Amino acid sequence: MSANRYLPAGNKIAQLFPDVLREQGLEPLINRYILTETERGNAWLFVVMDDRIIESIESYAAEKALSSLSTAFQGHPVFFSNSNGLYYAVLLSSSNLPRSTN
Amino acid sequence: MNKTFQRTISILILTYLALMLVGCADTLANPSEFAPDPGNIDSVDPAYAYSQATIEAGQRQLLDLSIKATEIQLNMEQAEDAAALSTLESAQRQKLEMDFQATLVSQNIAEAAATQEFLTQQTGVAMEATEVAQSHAATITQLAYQAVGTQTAQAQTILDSRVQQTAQAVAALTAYPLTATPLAVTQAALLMQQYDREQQSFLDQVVKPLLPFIAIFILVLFIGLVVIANRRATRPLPWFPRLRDRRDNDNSKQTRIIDGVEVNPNRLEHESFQSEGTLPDVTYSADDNLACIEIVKATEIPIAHWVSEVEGRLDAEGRQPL
Repeated sequence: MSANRYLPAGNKIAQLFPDVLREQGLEPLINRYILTETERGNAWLFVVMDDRIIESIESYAAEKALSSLSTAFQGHPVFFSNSNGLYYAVLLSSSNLPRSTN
Repeated sequence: MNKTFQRTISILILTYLALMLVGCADTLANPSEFAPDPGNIDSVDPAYAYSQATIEAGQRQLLDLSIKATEIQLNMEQAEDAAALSTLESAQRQKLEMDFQATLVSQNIAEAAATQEFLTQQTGVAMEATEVAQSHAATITQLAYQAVGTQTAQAQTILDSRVQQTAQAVAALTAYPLTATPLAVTQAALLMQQYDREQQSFLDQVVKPLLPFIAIFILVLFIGLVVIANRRATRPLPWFPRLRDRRDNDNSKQTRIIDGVEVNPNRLEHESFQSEGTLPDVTYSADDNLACIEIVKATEIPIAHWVSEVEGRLDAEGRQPL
């Protein structure tokens, strides 16, 4: 199945992502947005960060920042990893995610 | 040998003369017995007289001989003495000469030694003097160099002072005619007035007519700057793409390569987003600025590693994927 169907959701998250980082006092040094779908049916949006965040990587990986991102994305799980690169991973496909009240 | 023989002969002659003197003394003591009779002179024996005369002559001769022998002896002794003395003197002279020569040689040796020592001392003194002289020469050279440097600096200072004085003198000489006489004062005042008039004329003819244009130009420039600043303030700067929010980009008409196919995102969002009910309620419009999202297969590297890691963490947190 193509990941194209997750593209609108990815776009929206990509639009919100810099603002949420700014709200946390973090500079949105974003290099790329990568959307992929796994064999298990999970769609992931990887937000690849610039290497310059290595200077304050603790702030980017803080639980507070991850919680804020997840909250901004309507409860979608957000992970930060610094193995094989510096990136955030946002799970787009999940059946038990809370829906927006809007 | 000869001396012994001569001495023996001398002794014999002296003995003989002593006997003759003794005999003569007896005859003189008894003259009557042996003296001839004066009345009988004619009766004296001629042989006797002859003998007497002979004796007397002989005695005289002996006496003479004795005297001569004595003289000879004396001469001989004197000669011996003289010869010995001469030999001694000769030896002494030779000795003296040798001593003198030895003395001279010793003196020469001593003088030579003294000369040698003196020369050695003089050599040492000369070496010390040479070292001292070299040291003094080096010191003097250093002092001379410093003195030359000092003198050069002083000369430069003096030269600068002279140049300054010359400039002052020239200025004074130039200014003197201007103020020294009433005529010069008057001329200088006239020149100053002329200069002021030229300046005023330049301001009146050139600068003042340009003032309105300059003011208008400045006003227009100010207005232009205000407009540019207003536009800059209302629109993000183009040279900060990374710091800008990516949604500020005008990507409404941007196309993406998705799985090798050129896709219009505006169309995709309306076709695909409506079918995905799990995403938050976000209203999209065609005017929204969309971020550039790449769609990549999950099997590609490093996406596969990323997927593996995050799904592992997702499982660890107990979330169940769809």
